[in-house]
Amino acid sequence: MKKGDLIGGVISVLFGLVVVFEASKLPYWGAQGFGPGFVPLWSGVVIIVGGLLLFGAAWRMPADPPVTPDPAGKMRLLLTAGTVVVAALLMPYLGFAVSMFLLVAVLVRGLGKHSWLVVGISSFLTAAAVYLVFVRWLMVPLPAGMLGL
Amino acid sequence: MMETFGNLLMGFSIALSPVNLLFAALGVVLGTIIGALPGIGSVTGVAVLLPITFGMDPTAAIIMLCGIYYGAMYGGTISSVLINTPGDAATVMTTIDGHQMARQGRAGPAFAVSATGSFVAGTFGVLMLTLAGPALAKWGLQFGPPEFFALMVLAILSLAGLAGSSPVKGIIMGALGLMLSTVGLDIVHGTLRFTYGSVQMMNGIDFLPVAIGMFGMGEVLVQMEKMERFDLLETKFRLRDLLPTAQDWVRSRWAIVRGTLIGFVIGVLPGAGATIASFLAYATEKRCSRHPEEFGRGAIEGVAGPESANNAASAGALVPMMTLGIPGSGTTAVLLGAFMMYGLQPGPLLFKNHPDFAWALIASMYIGNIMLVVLNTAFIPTFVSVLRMPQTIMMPGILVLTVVGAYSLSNSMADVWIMIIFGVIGYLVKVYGYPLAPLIIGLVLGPLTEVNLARSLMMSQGSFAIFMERPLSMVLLLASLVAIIIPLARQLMGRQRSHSGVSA
Repeated sequence: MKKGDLIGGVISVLFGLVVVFEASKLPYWGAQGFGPGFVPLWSGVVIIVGGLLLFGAAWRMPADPPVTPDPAGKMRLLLTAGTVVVAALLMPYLGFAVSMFLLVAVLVRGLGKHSWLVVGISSFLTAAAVYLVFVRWLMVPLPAGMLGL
Repeated sequence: MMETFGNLLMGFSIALSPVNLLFAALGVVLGTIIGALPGIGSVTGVAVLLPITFGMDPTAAIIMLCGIYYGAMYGGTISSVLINTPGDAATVMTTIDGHQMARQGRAGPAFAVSATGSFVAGTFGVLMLTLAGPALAKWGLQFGPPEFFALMVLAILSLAGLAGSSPVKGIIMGALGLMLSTVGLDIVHGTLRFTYGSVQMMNGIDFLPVAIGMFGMGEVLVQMEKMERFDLLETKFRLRDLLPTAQDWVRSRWAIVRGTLIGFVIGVLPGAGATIASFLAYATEKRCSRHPEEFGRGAIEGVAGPESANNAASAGALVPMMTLGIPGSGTTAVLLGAFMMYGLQPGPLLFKNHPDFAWALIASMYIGNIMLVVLNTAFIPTFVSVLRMPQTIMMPGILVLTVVGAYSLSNSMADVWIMIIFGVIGYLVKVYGYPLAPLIIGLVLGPLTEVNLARSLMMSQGSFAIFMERPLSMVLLLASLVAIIIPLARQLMGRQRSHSGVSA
C-alpha cells in the first residue's frame, strides 16, 4: 500500500489546497459567529493535514511486495464501468428499456460468457422487471426513447 | 412503564396491518437474500433498494428498509458458512468456525444455532430500544444546540477513527464528506457555496446518489474485478442434519448471552458497529472457552457468539440513531438519510412528533425477528439456491437498479451521473483502503452540524467557550478527541492494525 498511500497523500493535499483556496473566497466570519467559509475552510485544512500524515506514514513503510498484475480483472472492471457509462449516455435517446436491456446483455455475455439464450432471458427479465416496478408501480417517468418504452 | 407498554401496543396495531406486515416480510426476505449474496451487504442493499420505496407510505417504507438492515445480519451467515466468504462484513468471523462446521457436514447446526442466537440478540436489542429509547429521547429533549453539535462531532470523529483500518484515511473521508455537504445553498448564511453558476449545484450534493454510487456501483465494480469463483459446499438439508445436538445447545447458550450483551453495548456506542462487535464476541468466546484449541476447527461457540453480537449491535445502533439522530455506521447513516427523506427527522422529537411511526417501527422489529428465525431455519435451502445464481447475472441486475434508482430520485439524468462518478470514486477509495462510512456520515450530518454550531454561537454571542462551559458538550467533545487521537496515535506510532480495523 506504500505507493498507493503516497499517491493518495499527494492527491489529498492537492485537493485540500483547492478546497482551502476556494473556501477562502467566502467570508470566514459572519453574523452567526462564523461565516460561510468557516466549515469548508477547516474541512480543507483537515484534508491537507490528513494527506500529509498519510504521506509521512507511507514514506516510512517498507516497499510494496511485487503485485501480480491481473489484466483480466482490469478488463472486467473497465468493461463494467464503461458499459454503465455508455448505457447512461444512450438512455435519453434509446429509452430506459432498450439501454438497460443492452447493459445487462453486454455484461452477462462479456463477463460471464453465458449462452445467448441466458443472455436474452436475463436481459429481457431485467428490463421487464424495471418496467413493471418503476414505470407501472412507482410511476417514475423513465425516459421512453424512440420505441416508446 | 405502563405508558411504554401502551405505546408498544399501539405500535403493534399499526405494524400488524396487512400492508405493513407485507412490507416487513418483504424487507426481511430481501435482507436475507442480500445478506446471503457474497460481497453485497446491508449498506449496499439499503442504498440500492431505497428508491423502490418512493411513493410508499413512509411507515411501510422504513419498516421495509430496516427489515433489510437487520435481515442482512441473518442472511450473511449463509455465505459465510457455505462458501467461506462473508455475506455481510459483520459476519466475517463466522467464516472461521462456521465454514469448518460445514465441511464436517454440520452446516445445519451452524445455521440453527446462529438463527437462534440472532433471534435472541435481535429481540433483546429491540426490547432495550423499547425500554431505553423513550427515556433517552426524553433526556435528549433537554439538549441544546451545543450538545447536539458535540454529539455530531463525536459521531463523525469516532466513525473516522474506528471504521476502517486507517484512522488517517477515515479522517480524510470524514472531512471530505463535511466539505461535500457544504456545496449548494448554505442554509445558515443564505449564500451559495461551490456552485460556480450551476443551477443543478444549488441544491447541493444529495446524499442518495452518492450512497447508491459508492455502496452500489462501487461495490459491484470491486466484485467484478475480483470475480472470485465461489465453491458452494453442497449440503443435504434433511431435518435430522439440521438440528443441533443437546451438546451444541449447552455449548452455545452462554456464547449467545455474552454475544448479545457485547453486541448491544458496542452497537449503542458511536463509531463501532456490528463488525467490531462480532470481532470482540469471537475473541471473548475464545478466551472464555474451556477448549480454545477447537476454535478455527468448527467450534460452535465461534458461530453462536459473533452471530448473536452482530444482530444485537445492529439493533443497538438504532437506539442513538432514532433517539438522538446520531448514526454509528454506514448503514445507519443511509437509514438516517431515508428517515429524513420521508420527513421523519430522527432525534428526541421523533417519539414526540411521530409516535405512531416510531412505535410501529419498533413493533415491526419484534415481528421481523420472528419471521427471520423461521426463514433462516425452515427455509434455508431456498436461500441457499440464491447462491447458485452466477454473479455475472446478479451483478448486472444490481447495476440496473443503481442507474434506474438514481434516475428516479428526481427524474433526472444529473443524479445518474453523480451516482456514476461516486461509483467510480467508491471503487477507487475502497481498493485503496479508505472507509466509506465517514464520508456518508459527514455528508448526512454536515448541514445539521453547521446549523447547531450557528445556534450555539448565537446563544453565546459568538464565543466558542460555550462548548467548554456546558458540562455535557465538554464531555462529548473530549470523548471525540479521545476517539480520534488514540486510533490515530496507534497508527502513526507504527502499530499497524489488522486489515479489518480491529486488533482483536
